[in-house]
This record gives sequence, structure tokens and C-alpha cells, in this order.
Amino acid sequence: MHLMVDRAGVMVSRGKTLAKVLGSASRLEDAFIPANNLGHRIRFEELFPQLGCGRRVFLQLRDHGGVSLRGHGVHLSPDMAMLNLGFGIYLSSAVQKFELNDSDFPPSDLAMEFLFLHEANRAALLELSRVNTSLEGARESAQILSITDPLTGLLNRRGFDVVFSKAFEARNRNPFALVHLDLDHFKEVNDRFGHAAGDRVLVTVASVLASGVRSGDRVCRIGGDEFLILIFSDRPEEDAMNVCTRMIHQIMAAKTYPCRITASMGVAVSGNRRITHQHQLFEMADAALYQAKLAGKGRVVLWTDPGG
Amino acid sequence: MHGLVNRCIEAFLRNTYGSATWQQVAAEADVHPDGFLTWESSPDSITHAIVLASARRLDKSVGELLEDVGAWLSRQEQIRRLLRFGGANFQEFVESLRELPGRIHLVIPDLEFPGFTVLSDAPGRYRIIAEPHQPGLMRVLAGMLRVMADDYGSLAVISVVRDRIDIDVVLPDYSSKRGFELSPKRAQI
Repeated sequence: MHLMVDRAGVMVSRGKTLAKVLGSASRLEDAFIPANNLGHRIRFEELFPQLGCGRRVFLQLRDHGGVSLRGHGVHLSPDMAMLNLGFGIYLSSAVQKFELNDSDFPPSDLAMEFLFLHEANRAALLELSRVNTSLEGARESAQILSITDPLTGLLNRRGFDVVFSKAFEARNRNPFALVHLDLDHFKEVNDRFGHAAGDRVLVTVASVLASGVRSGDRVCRIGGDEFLILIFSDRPEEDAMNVCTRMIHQIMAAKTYPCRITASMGVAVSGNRRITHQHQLFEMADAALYQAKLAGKGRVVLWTDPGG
Repeated sequence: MHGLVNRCIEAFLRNTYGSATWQQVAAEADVHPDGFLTWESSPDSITHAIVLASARRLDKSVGELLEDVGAWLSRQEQIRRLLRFGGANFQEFVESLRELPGRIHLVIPDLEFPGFTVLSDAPGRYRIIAEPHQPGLMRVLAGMLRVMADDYGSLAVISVVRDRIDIDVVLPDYSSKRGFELSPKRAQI
């Protein structure tokens, strides 16, 4: 786009496309704010003598701050200079602002190719981000599947280990109770009524456990008829014993079993200062469960230190 | 074949006939029902299997199916806009088709797009010849050309014979052109 300007700053002649941009402005500084190659404002009196030195000229549009033209110039005579200007990186916004079309650009200009590439790249990126979104979704559901027990929808052992490790790290801030549950005589259900009946019992027990805890607590089926429960509370002994007693009654009261079903539970709490490793808590809950079985099953026992 | 080619056929089926149709085709062609996620290149036999299964499923000839894919592709607004960059009118568009492989290469360098020659023996009459022998591509291209002739408001007779397309632009300004602003934002409003 050409622009001819005289020493006084009057725009003597302008190209067809530039005319669309400039409107009725007659002096260069009415339409543009000239800047040097560092982007600092300069006056037209400073700009004019610099033309023809091989330096780039930057002209920011006064009324459209987002668009800046760049180019270079030569002196035709001491009083007259000719500039060749382009939209540079602001091409897209200029095309939009001034409603330019392909006849506004000379055939040698790369404007159309630039706009084509700009749009084509955007389309390609859009397709790639669609792919990313669906891969992310697939990854998420694979992850959920990998930590879920397919029969009951509870966490499986792998999922529980992740949750338990986090809880164990934060046990001083958020104390909790670990409950180990085992159904009594479950093997007989399978033997007498078949595995489908056994599975129905497990699903019923799972739903009693899942609805018997608060939303932050976690229930897991580690396999067979064994379950682990994390109950978070500031008074873990008291709360866990209440919750577990209630759940034992609910498990016994459920009517969908082929025979009588009871559960035994062992409880260990995280508050003990002597606990330094995760496995200690599991061993304590397991020992308490053993006590519950020994004491006649169908009951909950809280772990107590045999030494003290 | 580049993953985008398979993806294009999948999108065409889902968009035009619904995801259930795609899943039936995918089952018959033995590809994953979730479709093509990556741009990884896959053996040509997979693309051929999808095309054959689609044609059978939709009770069309392979040629008809490929023309429909081309037509559908050109009607997608983003693609239509990219194609309209080719020229200001339909004749210019046809003449610029020989640049199409270059344009595609600029955006997706690993998409190996076969070339073709555009000949013209009289104003408004063109012949496109695939090089090398690519009858499938010519069918897709013919579908695209029909839609683009409408888009430019031109009346043209377009016929495909194996790897050759003949174009006769009868009335260049038959009806009004569809809009094309250089800036996509204005066009999308």
C-alpha cells in the first residue's frame, strides 16, 4: 500500500486499500501515531528525515489502536516522500475492521495465504483439541474403572490404597478409624445357594455400608466377603463404634438373603502416637476383627493395646 | 492412509446418518467404535474396509458414497471457507485446484495428498486428471466441485469417468454466491 506525504505532513496520495483505512484524514498525524523501531512515539518532524535510511517505519492507527502498519520509505525530493506500508501481523484484525476482501490485496501480496493458513491452523487445532478432550475422558473413565469393584461399585483394593495413603499422611489433622469387616459363614451361602446368591448378598451388604457412612468416608471391597471402611471424625472411636453397631444391625435386618447373615468388625483408630507405618493400622483392625469372631461373631470390637 | 481421511469418513457417517450407522460400519470393518482419535497413519486396507462397509450399509455404489463424502466435506463451514480462499469465482477456484496439494501440505505436512493435473481446452471447460491413478480421489473431488459450483452460484456440468473429471461451466453467474468474508468472525455471526 503506497502513501505519499510531503514535508508538512500532508498525505498527497494513497493506495486504494489504504484509502479504506484512512477515511477522510488529510494529514499523516491525523490518522497515525508514528513510532520508532522500539515502539516509542516520535513526531512527524523526526520521522520525515529518517525516511530512506533503510529503517522501518511503524504507524499506529489513531482510531484503531489494535492495528499498526509497518513499512519503509524513500525521499522522492527533499520535500516529498513515498512510503510502502503493510498490515504485518495485524492483518487479520485489519481485514475484519475495514472489511477488506481479496481484491484489496495485490496478487503478489501474501495476505490471502496468511489468512488461509491462519484459518486452516485454527481448524486443525480445533480437531486436535477435540481428540485431546475425548482422550482425556477415556483416561478418566479407565482410571475410575481401575479402582472400582465391578460387582458392588465400591472402591477396590487398589483404589482404597490410594485413599488410605492420603488419609494416613493427614492423620494428625484429620483423625480417622479403619474398620475391617468380614461376613460370618459367608462360604456356606455360596456352597448352599450358589454364587449368584452369594453375589446378591454382597451387593446388599455393600449398599448398607455405602449408605451407612457420611459422604467423606470411604468403603471398599478388598475381595471375597471382606470390606474396609474409613470413617473420618474428630472422635473416631466413639463415632466408628456407633456407625458400625448400626450397620451390623442393618446387615442382619436386610430381607433379601437366602439365610441369616451377620457381620463381624474390627476397628482401629489413627490417633495412637506409636503408629508410624500404614500396615500397623491394618494389623490392629485385623486383630480386633479376630477378637470379634472369637467373641461370638455378629459384633464390633475396638482394638485395645493388650499391654496397656 | 492419514488418520484424518478415516476420521473424515467417520464424521460424515455420524453427521449424516447418525452414530448408530457409524457403529455398524465400524463393527463390520472391524475398527474401534469410538472412531479415529489420532492422526496416526493406518494401513490403506482399513480405509478401504470402511468405505466398502459404508457403501453396503447405505446401499450405494462406492463412487456415489465417495461423492457424498466430498459434498459433505465442502459443506462444513470451516472447510468451505478454506476452499473459497482458492479463488473469487468458480473458474478461478477450478484453476487453483492444482495448488490444493501444496495448500494442504502447508497445514498438514504428513498428509500425502496425491496430485492432479488441470487442463483447459476452451474458456469454462476443464478436465482434471489424477496422477497417479486415483479413481477414489476423483469421486471425492467431484462431490466437492458440485457443492462449490453451487457455493459460487455457477451452473456447471460435472462428470466423472474413472480417474478423470470433466467440468463445463455453463453459466458462471447462474444464481447468487454464498457469502464469503475474509474474516471468519463476521461470517459466523
